[in-house]
Amino acid sequence: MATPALIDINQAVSQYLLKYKKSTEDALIYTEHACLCFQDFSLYDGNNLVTVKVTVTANKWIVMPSDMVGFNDLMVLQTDGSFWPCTERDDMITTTTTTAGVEGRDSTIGEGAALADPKSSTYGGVGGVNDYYYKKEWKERRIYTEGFTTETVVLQYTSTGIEMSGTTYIPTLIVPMVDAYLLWKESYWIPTLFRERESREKDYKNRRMEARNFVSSMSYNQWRDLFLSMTTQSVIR
Amino acid sequence: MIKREIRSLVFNRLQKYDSSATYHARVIDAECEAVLNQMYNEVAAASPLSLMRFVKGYGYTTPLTVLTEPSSGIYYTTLPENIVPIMDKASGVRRVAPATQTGIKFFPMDQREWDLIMGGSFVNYVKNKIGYCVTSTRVEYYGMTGAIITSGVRMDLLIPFSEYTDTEVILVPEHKDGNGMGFIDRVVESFKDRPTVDLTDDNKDTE
Repeated sequence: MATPALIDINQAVSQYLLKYKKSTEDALIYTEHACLCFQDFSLYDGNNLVTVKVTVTANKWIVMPSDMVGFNDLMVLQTDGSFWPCTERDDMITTTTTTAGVEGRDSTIGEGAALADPKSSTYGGVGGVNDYYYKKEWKERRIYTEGFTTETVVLQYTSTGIEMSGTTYIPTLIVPMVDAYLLWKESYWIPTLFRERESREKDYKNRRMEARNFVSSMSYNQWRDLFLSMTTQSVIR
Repeated sequence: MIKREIRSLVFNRLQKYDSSATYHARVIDAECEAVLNQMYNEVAAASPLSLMRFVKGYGYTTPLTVLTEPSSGIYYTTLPENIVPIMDKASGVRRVAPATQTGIKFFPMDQREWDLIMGGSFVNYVKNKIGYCVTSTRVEYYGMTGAIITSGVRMDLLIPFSEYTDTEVILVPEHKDGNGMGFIDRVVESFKDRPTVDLTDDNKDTE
């Protein structure tokens, strides 16, 4: 829902057309570019992670959400209210076996079999290891897993920001950046703006840095917590 | 000015070749239409948004019907009048809106954009806009909603001189060309060195 902090991306384009006295001639083209601008922001500057509960199938894989373009973490829910992060295992078998037209896993050749933890109870142990593993297969858009005792885990990922169904909202703080992006991109199809392309690109980069700095900047309390976390408390006399 | 005043003004500005010769109204109207169409396009080239000042509204009292073409599934509205073709995508259909004021917006598009958007694009997912594509006889819609199909649409059209009745006001662009000639001057100029066809001394508009 639109709020003072969020705006429908269509509305952002309409406002752009209004502010810069544009006709509605290329509104749909501007909307496409606005989506690309928002996608760039979501991926590179927005620090906007999506956290969702996902189901692990009986074949021990998770289907990536359709808007997932970047992976951040896979975590197990704990009853103490915190997440337990999983560990990536590159040596996990991710092949499948199709029998009678049904895709599955054949444990006799190691597909979906329990992984042995590289830990030792003898001298020279290498330290703590995880019990929960995953491996990403981007082409199949699956995350293969091993070690889960529950079928629901939490996936944290970077989204394009574009809603495949429903309204796509963008933060109002990036509206000036979207405007600058559209002003820059229109120079590619409006021949008279050819000479302005470079300066408009520069405007966009400035606006982008403003938004990036705003999103990424840390508050006083965050800095304080960072410093305190690096210190050891001493005895108070 | 109303249409017949414009015609009368042009008629009175034309050079008389003899005491009885007359120019047929149909010929004058045709010249007025040609010059007016040209001037609308000049306005479009200078400032497309300004064309809204010269449009005529349709579907305001009785909404225009949105129909479906069974063979293609295309939603469309038949143009209520001929339009003046303009060089941009909206052509002579300068605005389409729902019959009642709502937040839904219509935006002009061409057939190529239609194909590309349908072929997969972000716009296809995020748009809350309805695209309209102007053809010579109808306006086709992309992304039409059930509510608007039911309620109908209204349109602001740029129509040619011949579509106006004699008593209707025609809004004529007031700009002048490089020679300082406005609408009436240009129409009169088009008759220059062109004697009237009918020189029969019977003082009739018809041959």
